[in-house]
Amino acid sequence: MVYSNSGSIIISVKELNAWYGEKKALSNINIDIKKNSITAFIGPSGCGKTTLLRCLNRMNDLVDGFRLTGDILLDGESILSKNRDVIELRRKVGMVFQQPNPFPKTIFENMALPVKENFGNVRREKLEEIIETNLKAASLYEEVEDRLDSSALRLSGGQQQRLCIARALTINPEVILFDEPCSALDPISTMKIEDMLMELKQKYTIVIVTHNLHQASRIADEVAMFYEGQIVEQASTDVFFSNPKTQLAQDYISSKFS
Amino acid sequence: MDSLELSTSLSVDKAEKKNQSIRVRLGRLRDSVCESGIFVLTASSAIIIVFIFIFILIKSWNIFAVNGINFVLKSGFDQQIIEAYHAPADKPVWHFGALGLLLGSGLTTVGALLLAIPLGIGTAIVITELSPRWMKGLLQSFIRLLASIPSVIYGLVALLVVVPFIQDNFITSELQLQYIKQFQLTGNSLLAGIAVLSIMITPVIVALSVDAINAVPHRYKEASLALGLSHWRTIVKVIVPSAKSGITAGIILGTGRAIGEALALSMVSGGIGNIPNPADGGVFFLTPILTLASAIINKSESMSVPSINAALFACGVLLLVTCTTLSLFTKIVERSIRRREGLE
Repeated sequence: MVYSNSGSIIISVKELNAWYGEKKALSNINIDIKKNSITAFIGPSGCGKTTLLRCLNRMNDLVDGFRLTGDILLDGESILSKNRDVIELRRKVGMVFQQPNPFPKTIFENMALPVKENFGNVRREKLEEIIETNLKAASLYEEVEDRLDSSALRLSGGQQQRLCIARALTINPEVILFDEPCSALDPISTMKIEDMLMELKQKYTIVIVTHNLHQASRIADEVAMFYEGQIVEQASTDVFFSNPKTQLAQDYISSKFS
Repeated sequence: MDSLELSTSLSVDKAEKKNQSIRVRLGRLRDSVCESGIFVLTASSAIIIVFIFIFILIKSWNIFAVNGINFVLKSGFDQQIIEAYHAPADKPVWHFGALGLLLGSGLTTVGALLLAIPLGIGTAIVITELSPRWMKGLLQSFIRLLASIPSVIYGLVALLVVVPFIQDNFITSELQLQYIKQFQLTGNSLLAGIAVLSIMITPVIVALSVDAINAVPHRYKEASLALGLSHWRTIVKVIVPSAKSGITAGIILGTGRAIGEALALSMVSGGIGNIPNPADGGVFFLTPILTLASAIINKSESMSVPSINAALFACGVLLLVTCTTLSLFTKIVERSIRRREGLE
């Protein structure tokens, strides 16, 4: 377990502004994300949480008309500069999406594809070992070990999402981004994933977007509250929930909790 | 006074209700008339297909009765047609062998597929994944245009461009002399047939592949990119495999079109049912050939002879059987792929 780096900054967002076409989505965002912690982005719908999350591995590059100013540093290096290799960035910064999105292939193939694509030809035993380790890390192994060759789309929603998490782990990212990973899941699946996140933060840095304030208070170390494209308040989870400084945060917490 | 008003208003109500119920009943009647009308139309088109099958089978029955399985195992169709044409009416020739035609259809189709599958899928990838939005529309209209060009135009262009090209570049006088006893090398050949056919079926494969690739959920692409795959690897490893049931459907539809194509092939493929010999090397592709469908066109002048008439209908039976099998095959393949992916 790596606690020595705990507290050091891995991602640093500086003066970030972003637009979809003419519409401004993020204004003057500054935030530091600590290594081996869980940072939760909270706030009402359409306030820019997911936009910022998708800037961190440059998934917004896919969106027509998206542009931004400012900078994002990963380990002290800009990820937005022209000569930055996006593929290498995405290997370091993995992502789990809101909708579980396993490929229409077998469970084994879902896990093997990123390994083969990123590490070249891995020996079969090594490949199986990687797959087993990561399925275990996503607490899915026992449920699927005897049907690795059946289609991933036959799994339940919660199992599919855990498969996607396991798949994201196969390429050894430093940071994993979670975009409302539990919003499509039932309470039991949600609980399993929350437990898993608590485990995973010992090895990885986790950034999670969530609508669920209870979830944020249960698992997050740091909280950033978004409103209309701005971060209105950021603090450690204890401080944020017990002693919010801004009126907006107070209202949001009380309306959601009462 | 009050009671009178009440009773009139009641009777008005009653009349209104009666009207309403008539309207409802009329509506129902109209619906059922429409439904049964559509049903009759559907049923009649199905019945027409069945009758076509029966008609062709009856027309060709003598050929299968006389030749049996030999109809597809023996060759020499052209010669037999000539014999049958010149045979005296009291001694008609009923022996035909369509192996040459079957191979002609098979070879042109396989050859065309080998060219059209990579071309078609590649074009579909360019349209869906690699071109900017304005180019997408442009390319797609071109492809649609290609698909709607009548086959006789393709035949004409091939006859005026492809055939002379083959003649000028691959055929020498010595080569012609060498093969003069077997067939005449003119450029009208298997190769010309494959060339024109591959251009004709590519649009079909492109159109269905484009639809299939567009139908691949965006979340698969995002998942792949987020796992550190490049755009190209994402296309190769995730997008195209996810679209394979639709792409397969396009390929099989293209195969059907290739097998059924008569006109363009009868113009450029040579019109003689030779069996190309792999031992001839490159001349294999320069051999003039004839396919099942174009045989029906080429030999239709001699249809007044009953046995030739039946022989051509027998070619039709082979075509129908192949195409029906293919279309059933499409369904089976599509379903098995979807089942393997866990979509059903």
